Amino acid sequence: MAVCVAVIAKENYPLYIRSVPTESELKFHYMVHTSLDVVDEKISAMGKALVDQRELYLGLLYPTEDYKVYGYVTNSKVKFVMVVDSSNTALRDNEIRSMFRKLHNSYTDVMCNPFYNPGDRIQSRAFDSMVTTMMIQVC
Amino acid sequence: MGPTQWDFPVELCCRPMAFVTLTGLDVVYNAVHRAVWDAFCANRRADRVPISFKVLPGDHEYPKCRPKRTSYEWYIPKGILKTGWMNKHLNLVPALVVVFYELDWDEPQWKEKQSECATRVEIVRQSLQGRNTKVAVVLIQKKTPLPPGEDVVASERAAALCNACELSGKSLFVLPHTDHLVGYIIRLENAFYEHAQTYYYTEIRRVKSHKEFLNKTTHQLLFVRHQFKIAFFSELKQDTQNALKNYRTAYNLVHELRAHETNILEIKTMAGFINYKICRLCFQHNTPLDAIAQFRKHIDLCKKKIGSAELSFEHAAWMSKQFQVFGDLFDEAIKLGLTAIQTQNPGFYYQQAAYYAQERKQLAKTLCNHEVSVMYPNPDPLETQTGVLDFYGQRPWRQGILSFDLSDPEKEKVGILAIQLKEKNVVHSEIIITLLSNAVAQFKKYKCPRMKSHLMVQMGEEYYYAKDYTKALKLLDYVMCDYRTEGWWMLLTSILTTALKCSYLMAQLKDYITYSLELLGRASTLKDDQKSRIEKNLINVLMNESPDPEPDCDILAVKTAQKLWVDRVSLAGSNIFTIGVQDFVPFVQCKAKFHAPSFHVDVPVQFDIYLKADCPHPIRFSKLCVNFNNQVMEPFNIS
Repeated sequence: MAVCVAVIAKENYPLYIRSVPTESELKFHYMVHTSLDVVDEKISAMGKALVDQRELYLGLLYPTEDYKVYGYVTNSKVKFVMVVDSSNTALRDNEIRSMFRKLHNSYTDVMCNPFYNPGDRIQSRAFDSMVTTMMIQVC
Repeated sequence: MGPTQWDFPVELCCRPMAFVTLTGLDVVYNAVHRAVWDAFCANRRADRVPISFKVLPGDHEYPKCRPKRTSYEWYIPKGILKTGWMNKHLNLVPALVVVFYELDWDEPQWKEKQSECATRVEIVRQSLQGRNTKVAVVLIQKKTPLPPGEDVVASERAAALCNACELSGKSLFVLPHTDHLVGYIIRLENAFYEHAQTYYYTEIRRVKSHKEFLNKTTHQLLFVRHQFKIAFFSELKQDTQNALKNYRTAYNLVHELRAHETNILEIKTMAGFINYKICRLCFQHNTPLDAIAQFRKHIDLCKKKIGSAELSFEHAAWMSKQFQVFGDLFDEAIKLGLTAIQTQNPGFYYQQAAYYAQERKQLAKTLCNHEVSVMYPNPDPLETQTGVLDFYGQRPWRQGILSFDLSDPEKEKVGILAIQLKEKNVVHSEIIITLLSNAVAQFKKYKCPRMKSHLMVQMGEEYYYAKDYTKALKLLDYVMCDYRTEGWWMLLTSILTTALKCSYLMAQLKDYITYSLELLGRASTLKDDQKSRIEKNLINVLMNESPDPEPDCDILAVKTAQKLWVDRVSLAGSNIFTIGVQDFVPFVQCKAKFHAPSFHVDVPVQFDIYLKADCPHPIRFSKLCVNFNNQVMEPFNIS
C-alpha cells in the first residue's frame, strides 16, 4: 500500500497530495517534488511517440533508502506519483500499475464534475475515499 | 579538519603497488647514481610497471619477521587485522632489494671488488632476516656491453659473481651508464616487476599454507585475516581478478563471525574496508553494476547492526562514511570515463551520507547532552600505549579481549563517556554541509534541478542550525523562487518560515518585512494563529517596536537578536522601505479595471481599484498610489 499519493498538474504544481503519517508531510512533498525531475526526463525521452500508443505508466522513478517512488503520466500531462515503503516487497509492478489505473479513473470522474474547475486543487470526497483505500492504514 | 576516526586509512585507499628498495645508490653526492634514481622515479606514467621504489642504505633494517608458528593449537587471535599490516607490506617490507654496485667486466682488481659485492649482498640478506624477499644485483658499468656471448671474460666473471653472491643468473643485471639510460631502466624495472610478482606469489602460498592448521571454532578471525591478506597480496601482484575473488570470500567470512555488542564495531570496520576494496575493484574492472549491487548488499547487511545504544551515533557516522566513500569511488570512476545516469549517480550516495550525518547529529544531541560539570575522564580511556590501536575497529580500553562479557563494567562506562564527550565537540554541521554540497554538484550535472533545490534548502537549514544566518538566507533566498514559480506552497512556506527566523535573528528589517508579507498571503499554508502572530509582529515593526522572537529559536541567539532589534529601533528615521512585490505573492491582492474599453477626449477616465487583504487581522492603508506603466500617461500618476 502507498504511503503517499500525489496528483500533479501539467504545470507541475500539486493538485492533490496525501501522505501517512501526516507528521512527515513535508518530507513527502519534497520527495514528490524532486521525483518530477525524473518524470520530466522520461516525458522528454518519450518524445513524440504516437499518443494513443504511449505507455502512461512510467515505472519506478527512483529508489531511496526507505521508499520507492513510482510515476504515471496522463495524455494531458497530468502526473500521478505514488510513494511506497521499500520494505513492502509484496507490491509488484502489476499492482502498482493497477493502482495507477484506478487513480486515473477516479481523476477522470473528478474532471467530469461540472463544478470542478480544471487546475484547482482536488477536493472531491469520492476521490479522497478512493485514495484512502490505496493508502496504508495507520492504527 | 584532520583525519577523523571514521576516515578510511590511506593504505587502504591507495592502489597497491609492488614495493622494491634500491640500495647502494648515493643519490646526494654521486651524479651517476642520481641520474639512475631520477630515471626510476621521474615520469612514472600509466605505461610503466606499477612499482613503488625507495632508496635505502644497504644495512637498512627491515621489520622483523616473527618466528614461524609450528602449531596453531594454543593460538587464539586477538583481532581481525593489525592496523600496521597494510602499511608494512606497502612501504616497509620490499618484494625485492636491489644492490647497485659499480663494477666493469675488465676491472683490474676484480677479486677484491667481487668479494665486496658479495659482502654487500650478504648484509642485505641478513637485514631481511628470513623473509622471502628477493635480492638482485645491478652492476653499473661505464662501458657499453658487447652482445651476449661475444665477451668471454664477461660471462665467466658473471658466473663467478653469481656464485660468490649466491644469486641465480636471473638476478644479476648490468646497467651501462650510457646515452640510453631510460631505456635500460625500463628494461630493468620490468625484470624487477617479474621478481616482485614471484615474491607476492610465494607470500600468497605461504598464507594459504596456514589454512590447514586452523579450526572453525577458535580461529574464525584468522579465516578473515588470511583471506584479506591473500587478496591484498594479489593486489600487490596486480592480479585484480583473484584479489576481487578473495575479497568477496573475506567479505562473506566477516559476516559469519559471531557478532556481539563488544565486537560489532570491529566487524563493521572490517566489512567496510573489504566492501571498499570490492567496489573499487569492480569499478576498475568496468563492472559498475556489480559495485552497486555489492554496496547495496553491504548496506542491507549492516544497516541494522547498530551495536551499543549509548553509542548509536557511531553507527550513523559509520553509515555516513560508507555512503560517502562509495560516492567518491563512483565519482572517480566517472572521471575515468564511466557514464552515470539521472537516477543512478554519485549524488544519491552523497545525499544519503548527508542524511546519516544528520542522524548522527540528532543522536549525538540526545546521547551526549552531559552537564558541563561532567569532566573528561582521566586517565584518558581512549589513549593507548603506542598511540594507535593494535587492531582495526577495537576499543582502546579493551584491546585484544575477545570475551563477550564485559570484565570491567566500570571501565566500559568510562570509555563510553569519553567517546560521548568527544562526539560532543564534533562540528556536525560542517560535515553535513560538505556532503550536501557534494551532492548538489552531482545533481547539477545530471539534470535534477528540483533535487538540487531540495538539497540547497537542506544546506540553508543546516547553516541556520550552525548559526550562520547570512549564508542560510543566501541559499534559501536563491531557491525560494523555484518553489514559488512551480506553486509548491507548502514547501515555500516551510522555507519562508526558516528565512523569517534568520532575518529576525539578524534583525534584517527589510527581509523580515518581505518574508512576513508573503507568509501572511494566500500562498502561505500557515495556520491562522501563526499568521496572526506574524501580522502582529509586522505591525510592531511598522510601529517602530521590536517584534516577538520567532518560535523554536535558539535562546542565546534570541538574546543577541533582541539587542540588535533595540538598536535598530532606536535608530528610527529611515523607516520607509520600498518592497517590490511583483516577484512574490503578498498578502494584499490588487487589481484595477477601467470602466470602458475606451474613453472620449475631455471625458474623465474612470476606473476601479480592488484591494483584497488575505491576512487574518484588518490592516490600514495610509496611502494609495496609482502609476501608469504607459509613459504617455505618466504625468497623470495619482497619489
